Amino acid sequence: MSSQGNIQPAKLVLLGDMGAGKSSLVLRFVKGQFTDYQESTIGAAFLTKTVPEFKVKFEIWDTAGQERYHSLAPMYYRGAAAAIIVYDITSTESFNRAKNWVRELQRQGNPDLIVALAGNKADLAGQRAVEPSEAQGYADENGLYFIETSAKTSVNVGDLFNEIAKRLPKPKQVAKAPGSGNVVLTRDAPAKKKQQCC
Amino acid sequence: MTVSEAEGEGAVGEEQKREPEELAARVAEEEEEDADVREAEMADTGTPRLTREEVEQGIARMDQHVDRESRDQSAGTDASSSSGGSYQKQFVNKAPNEDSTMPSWRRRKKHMFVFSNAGKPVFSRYGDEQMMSTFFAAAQAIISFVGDKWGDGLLSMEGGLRGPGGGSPWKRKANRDSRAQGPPGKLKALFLEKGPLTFVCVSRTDEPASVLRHQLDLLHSQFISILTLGIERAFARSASFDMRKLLNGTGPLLRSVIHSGTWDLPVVLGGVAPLPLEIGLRKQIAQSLQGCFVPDVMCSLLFTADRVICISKRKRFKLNHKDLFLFTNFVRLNDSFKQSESFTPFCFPSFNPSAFLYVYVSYVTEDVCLAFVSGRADSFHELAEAKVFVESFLRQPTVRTGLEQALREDTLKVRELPMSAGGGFVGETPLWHYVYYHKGLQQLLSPRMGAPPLATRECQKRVLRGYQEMSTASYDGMTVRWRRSGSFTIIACISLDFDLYATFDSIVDAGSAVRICNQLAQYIHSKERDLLMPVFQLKSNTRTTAAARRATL
Ligand SMILES: Nc1nc2c(ncn2[C@@H]2O[C@H](COP(=O)(O)OP(=O)(O)O)[C@@H](O)[C@H]2O)c(=O)[nH]1
Ligand SMILES: [Mg+2]
Repeated sequence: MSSQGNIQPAKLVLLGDMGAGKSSLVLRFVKGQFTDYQESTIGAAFLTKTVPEFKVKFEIWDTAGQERYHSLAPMYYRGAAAAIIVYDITSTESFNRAKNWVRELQRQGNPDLIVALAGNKADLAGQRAVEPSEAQGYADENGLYFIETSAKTSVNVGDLFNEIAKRLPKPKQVAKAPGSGNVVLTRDAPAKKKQQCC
Repeated sequence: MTVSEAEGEGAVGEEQKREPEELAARVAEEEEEDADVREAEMADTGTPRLTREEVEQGIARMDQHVDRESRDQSAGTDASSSSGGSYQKQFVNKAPNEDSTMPSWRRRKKHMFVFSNAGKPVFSRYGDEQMMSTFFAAAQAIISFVGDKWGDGLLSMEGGLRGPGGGSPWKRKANRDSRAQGPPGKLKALFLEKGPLTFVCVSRTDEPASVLRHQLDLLHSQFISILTLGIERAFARSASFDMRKLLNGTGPLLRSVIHSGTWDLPVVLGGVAPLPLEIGLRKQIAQSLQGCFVPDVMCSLLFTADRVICISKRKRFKLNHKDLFLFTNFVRLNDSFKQSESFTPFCFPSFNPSAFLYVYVSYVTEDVCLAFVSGRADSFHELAEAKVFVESFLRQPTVRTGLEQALREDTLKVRELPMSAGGGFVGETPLWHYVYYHKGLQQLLSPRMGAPPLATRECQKRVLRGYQEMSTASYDGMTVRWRRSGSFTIIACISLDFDLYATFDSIVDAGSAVRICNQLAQYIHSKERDLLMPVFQLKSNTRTTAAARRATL
């Protein structure tokens, strides 16, 4: 335990249109796997991955992205240290949805939240619908970190997560949880009771 | 016509009786001070025997019901539903580009679709629902023309089948009698209005209307499980609301439910299939599910793709077999649950159709899934901790080997039964297959159907239909029901506490079939303790601290 004593947990949430490749990015990062037959996420999936170089343990919420779960999204991004908003470079629609997510996070007004914009499926450049310059421009305007990735070929996937790890606030000595050598899990703030769709 | 007579009043009555009574009906309701785990009292009411006269009466009556479809023993080989690969893949839209004008679409045997009161397409089993607006508009016109004269939202019609493209099947006379059953191949149409949505089934299968209705109900319930009744409020706000957005990605789930209504024995007969497990081990597992008590957990479940291992639940959480099926089906349909821990809202429609509960889902082995149903949206991390506890419990060598052993075994295969109860290898015994349905617990025991002599899909389907018909049909209170078809004989023995359905070869004589049924029922009854699954109670005041939990490990 003591060797990990200074590993900081960091809650990270992935948002974006269904089918953009959120789960694929997470599974590539956490397990080094990719499948062409990735089934849609239900609700939200939780995975963790420690990045020793940066002394960070990512606690990742991979959300479903379907419209019906939208009202539940706050449950997952509340209290997050970082968010990755994913779109599919072959779909303008998914880019527009990504912008909506950016706006939603901005409305939440957490100035410390690190937000990355990932243009995924970069391997499908032939079907590209969103130019990197456009996305970069949008990212600059909104203070996001932008990168194009491919969960399939794994291009830039490590960089995406590493960049977030780098940007996380440095662990302060005082921030350590009192009296524990254990890793402390971040807890979601209590959410509204009995949420319903629509 | 005798067939429709046999379908008579009882079909409806029986079905209602089967409806959502609580799964745990038999759980001892009174509080017990000390026991952490309490098991259901199994009915202990001796096995009723069937008399010779009862049998003969039954045979005389039922011999008239000769199965017509018995000749076509064709069809491909079975692909057991839990065989390798993604379960979901079986249920992608098989004809995404068809529309209602195409002959191929019209030839499909059983259609189900859903549209809104504004005529907006919501779902179609086959084809692209968006291309069917005109069809839906026509269907809607018929409904409003005929009207819901009976006030129960159900309208059923029958007519002769027209050839492809041969004009509207809707012109045939509408009739109220959902029990009437046309000959196989006749077209039946059922409309079920549920709030802002209309569920339609157009079928050429020989399933009776009562069964189709049941399937429409199930489809509706799975809708609710994903969206809650909140969907009605959305429609109230805007009649032209496009529900497809909300259903995005659920097509396979909805199609799988339709499939289960025909193919899954527990759904067909309305029950839960428990994993046979030595009672001591099952109690220990239940204890581990409780040892990790987290406030606001309503229910803990351990299950595989087709059998339930253990349920431990709060008394106030009513969980009937239908909700349990909807949930386990929802889980087994999504392989994404196998990749990581998940937390998802889910609505248990019979318990509370208006609210989501939050479910923690995680596979603890490749096939065994653990779920905690919680009332709190922020309980994930506590539940994840609880899972670690259950997981380490299940890893203990004795527990693990016991469970693995049980999982490998099929439920009491025919060849493992005593000879007097019909045991023996294929060819040695006239008994092919059986289902033991415990009414109090709404659980059923039945060996899988994949093996010979029930190897082909067609054969399995006919047996399933036979069981189904016998379970719903009224035989004037007959305790023994009998039906011979070309290649096999089905017998149903109905008693107060259990039903036994059995398939025999076609030449078995009634006397020995009934003798075997009697012995079989007695044999299973004597083993109920390990075969059936008591529903354990989660006590609300058990608070186990993390420290205490570690100590018990
Ligand atoms: N070509 C390509 N396909 C991808 C990539 N990432 C994901 N996919 C595919 O896109 C589909 C949706 O991916 P998924 O991870 O489920 O998206 P999610 O809904 O955002 O989680 C799947 O069929 C993946 O195989 C990628 O980088 N390149
Ligand atoms: Mg996903």
